[in-house]
Amino acid sequence: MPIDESRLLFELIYQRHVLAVLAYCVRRIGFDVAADACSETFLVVWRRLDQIPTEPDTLPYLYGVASKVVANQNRSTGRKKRLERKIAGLGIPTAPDPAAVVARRDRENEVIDAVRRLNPKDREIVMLYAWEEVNRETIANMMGMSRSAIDQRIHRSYKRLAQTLKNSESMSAYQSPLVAEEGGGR
Amino acid sequence: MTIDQIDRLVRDANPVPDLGVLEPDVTSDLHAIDERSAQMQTKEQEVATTDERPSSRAVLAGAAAAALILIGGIVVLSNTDVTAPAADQPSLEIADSFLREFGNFNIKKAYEYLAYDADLSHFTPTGNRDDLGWYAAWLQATGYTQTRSRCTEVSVTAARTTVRCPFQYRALRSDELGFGPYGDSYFDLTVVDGKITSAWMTFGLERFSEQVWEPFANWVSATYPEDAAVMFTNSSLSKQRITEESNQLWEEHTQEFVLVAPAFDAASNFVTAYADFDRDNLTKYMTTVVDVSGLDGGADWEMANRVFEAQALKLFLRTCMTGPAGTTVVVSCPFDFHDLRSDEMGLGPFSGSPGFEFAITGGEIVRVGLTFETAEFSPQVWEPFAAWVAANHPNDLLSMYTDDTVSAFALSEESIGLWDKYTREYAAEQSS
Repeated sequence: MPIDESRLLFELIYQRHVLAVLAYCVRRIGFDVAADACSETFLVVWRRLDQIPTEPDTLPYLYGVASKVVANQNRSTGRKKRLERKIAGLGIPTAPDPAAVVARRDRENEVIDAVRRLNPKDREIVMLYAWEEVNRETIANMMGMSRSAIDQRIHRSYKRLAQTLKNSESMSAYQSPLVAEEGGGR
Repeated sequence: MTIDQIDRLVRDANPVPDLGVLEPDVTSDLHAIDERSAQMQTKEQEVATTDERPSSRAVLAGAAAAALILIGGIVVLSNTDVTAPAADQPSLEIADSFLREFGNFNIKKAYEYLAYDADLSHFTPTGNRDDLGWYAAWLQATGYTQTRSRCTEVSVTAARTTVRCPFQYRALRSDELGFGPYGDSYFDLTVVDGKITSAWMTFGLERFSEQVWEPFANWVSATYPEDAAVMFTNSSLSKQRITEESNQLWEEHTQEFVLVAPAFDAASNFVTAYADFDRDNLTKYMTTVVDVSGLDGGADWEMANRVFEAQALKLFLRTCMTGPAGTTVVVSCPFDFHDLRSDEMGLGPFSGSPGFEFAITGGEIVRVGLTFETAEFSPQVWEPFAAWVAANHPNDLLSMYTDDTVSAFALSEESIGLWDKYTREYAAEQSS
């Protein structure tokens, strides 16, 4: 492809999808590093321009690239955090902060935490389905799985989330009188 | 909890439900991606040149180089790092020739070095290739000059060469104003098949904005608001409009600004010192003043400024406006204000004051006057306060005012103390 045509095509893809890819990265690794991941994703796109599928398959493909970039970033962040914990002698994993976006209601934070506790593949499927709003057929193609496998995984993940959230509700119910007792008393 | 309820909960917890809140920096992203991609290609080409076997080792080395760049960010390749193909020398020459013609405002010749669809989105203010001529005309009209350093190739691939040319510049007649030249500036030019396909112009703007652009833009906006609307594309006055009419106004007003700038600076510095009650600084300006009759306190202006401070006068200064350039320049500096702690009482600020008026010769203030607009301030603050003093502290009234018409404050140490004490008392009483 002549260089000018390549550049034009790339800019078209970039302009059309940069927001969706940036949002994808923010949802997974937070604002601080999402811009870098988004940039890396499009760098890969630029280098593999001849392999980019045409619409409407472009965005799912970009999500696939972004997922690898995010995974790489998570691995390097994980190494850094483990080292920091070792140095600090804490040994306690820091809770991930996928949102870091706006102050959110406690319930929404609980849901986000619960989603993050799903296993990586289920988590990615749930996020793609509920947050990126990719349809199940497309997710199946993206993940190299059958449509029914995706249905089952979403169903199973939602049941797990329901259980996790139910447990956290009963924990809240146990905690609130304790807090009242410490704060009041007279 | 049903599956539908969970689905709703998860969707509601979407950390970025609205893509509209995201603001990617598209232009800089594209540039960065383009630049990094070029660097990676260059690095790969280097590897291929040093080890011509298309082996897995070369692939791994290329991948390692790419990974290094991905992790480490931008790697600037020096001239000597690049194994130069035969096309290198012409690229430097093309860049040099284009910039020489552009710097000399020979735009017809400069165009000869550009590809027909060259990307000038970060070169001309409009980003439009066809506006290069108007842009050069604007630069010329506003006294722009550039001094270039040697260009170097920052990336070379089989397809293209990117050249960086640092430069220093003077603009908006900054040299005539006694500022500049300004560095930290460079051109990035990409050459493909002997033509420039992309030109970026990056100005080091920090000092230039502070010393030249902002004072000029504020001055022109205050003195010629209608012209400012033609000369700038936005109300923040950060971007110039490039049209024939605009260029003409830029030429006229930058020339005029050079002439009135000393007066404009002196007036602006004086009013800032007056508003800050910085009397040490004010004294320096007042040494040249012949006529102080228009300033509160007259010759006793320093005492008057102290009373204003005791009254908690707050001036919200607007940009000064200058009259026509000449031996003596008249400068007006209007303001809005709070006084007698009107802000603490939830009143004001009171706008529309003509403010300070100066006559300035050779950059030195020779006459200064001060006028407040009191149509709203008097009935809301001044008169009720005077009535309150008369009712509550009648014995102090004539220590605070010059006479029982209570139209002007007295200038004395005692007056300063009373104004401070009673305005506080009055404001507290009115606010409670």
